[in-house]
Amino acid sequence: MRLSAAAVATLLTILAILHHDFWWWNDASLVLDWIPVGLAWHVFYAFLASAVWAVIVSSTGPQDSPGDTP
Amino acid sequence: MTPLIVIGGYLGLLLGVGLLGHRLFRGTSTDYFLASRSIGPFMLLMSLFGTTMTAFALVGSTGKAYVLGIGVFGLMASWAAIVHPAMFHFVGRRVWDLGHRLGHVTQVQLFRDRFESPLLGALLFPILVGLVIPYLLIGVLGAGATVAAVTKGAVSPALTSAVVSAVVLVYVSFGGIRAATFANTFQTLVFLAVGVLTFFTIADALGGAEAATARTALLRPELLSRGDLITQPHFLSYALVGMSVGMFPHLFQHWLTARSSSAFNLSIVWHPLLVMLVWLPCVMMGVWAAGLHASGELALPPAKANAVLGIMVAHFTGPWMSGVLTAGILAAIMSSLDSQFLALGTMFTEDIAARIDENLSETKKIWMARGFIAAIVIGTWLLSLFTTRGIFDLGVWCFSGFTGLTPLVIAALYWRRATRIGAIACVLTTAVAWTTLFIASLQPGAAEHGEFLVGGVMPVVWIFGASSLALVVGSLLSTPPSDATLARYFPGPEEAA
Repeated sequence: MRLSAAAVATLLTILAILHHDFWWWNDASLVLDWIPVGLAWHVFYAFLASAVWAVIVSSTGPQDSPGDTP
Repeated sequence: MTPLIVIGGYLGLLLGVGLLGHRLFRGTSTDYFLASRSIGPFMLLMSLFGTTMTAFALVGSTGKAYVLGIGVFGLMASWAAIVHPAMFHFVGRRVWDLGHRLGHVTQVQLFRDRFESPLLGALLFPILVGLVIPYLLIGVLGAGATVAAVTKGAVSPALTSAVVSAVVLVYVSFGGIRAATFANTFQTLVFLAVGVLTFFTIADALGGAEAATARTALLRPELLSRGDLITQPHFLSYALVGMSVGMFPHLFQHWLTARSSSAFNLSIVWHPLLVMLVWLPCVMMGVWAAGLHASGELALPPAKANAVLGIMVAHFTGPWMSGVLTAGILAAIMSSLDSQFLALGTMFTEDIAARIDENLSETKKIWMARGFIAAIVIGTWLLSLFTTRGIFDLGVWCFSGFTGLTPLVIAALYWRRATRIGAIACVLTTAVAWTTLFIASLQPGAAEHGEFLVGGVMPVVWIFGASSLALVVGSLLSTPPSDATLARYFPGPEEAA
């Protein structure tokens, strides 16, 4: 399935909005007893961003082809 | 002495890997500057990531987290998870395609041709060089500060900077970008592994990650959230800082080395995870160091924040481990220095020397690049002796200048109506806005929330806004580019194939 430009723009906009985690702004509670929740969210965000880029690349980017220079 | 033996051994090994790239050198300027456009997905990932992560990411982030807390991660690292891949995907691929079809080697060549303006090229060259030099300084200063801290001042920053610069100079001079790519791949693997090792070693020495964080939670709880340390507009405005990668000359050159457009895929998908892997340990160690300082276990004033990582390594690890960890930090620093030195040499040769003498031989081109790289290395080292600014802040100013120029590359690739007048206006506006704000930041008491903010946001917002506006207005008020140029830069699907 190929994503339209609008779908790519929507995915990236949602990703950008999720970056601004104002809901953890003043929260210093710890996850796993050592990582502050505001930081833990951004670690999770890295995985989320990677997954979103994987979707975008697989549906809009060029794929390896036999014609590639070795 | 032991750490120095380990570091010396690492530098020797690195020279060997770099010179291995020289053995594969094909003797042409295309191979020297672009590795004959033959780099595959894995080495492209390693070189793009290794080049992007510099002293800023390791030494700078630890020092900044020591002062501003965990919010530092969101300022740079997680914006990099969206903005950097976007630049690789939307700008890098298209630059690669144009370079492949039209034979560009440098940014100046692309912009001069796309905007039909030699004047634009003449304006851009000194500005790009002027922005790369502070970026080089970050690396040189970071190396000096780290080794000085680890050896407790026995090795001066000036000596470390000289040795590190000399090692990079040797392998880049001999093997060009192929040697830099080999060395980057090796160094990126080293600093990723060492970063994780450092984190666990120091956490263990502090009684575990839980105990280390608990100490900070007790004595410096404000560092475990953003609270009043970082405001929301301040946090948001860092999105633009990351856009600078779209105009880094050294990344531009690495993009052109890709063997195919699909080689970018791996870099785009893995970049967010690799950035997180480097920044998370550094930010946590900075926060832990602040707790140690507050408890009186670590003497380190905030003005010496550049040294936090080195001091933590020296304080909490044995001599051998200390040497290994320091070598890893130097790996991250040198994996950027090599590409930056080479990009400057390439720009000088292609944009200045080859313009003056169009019949320059391949051999002369390579030797001219080597000579210019050597001059830049010496100049940077001399500058590093007199620079006192924090690495993080110096880096952000450098990135802000590149971000001001980013509208230029986006318009060149995506906006047919962008013209030479718009492009020149964009460059001049960036130069004026950046210089004005930088001078203002030097005034005593200009910093708030640990940084110089204008209207509550980073200066980059105003620089980017002004340069974008200048580009749009200048373009709409001037004559569009010729049909021939537009046909080359915006071909239909059939011509592009």
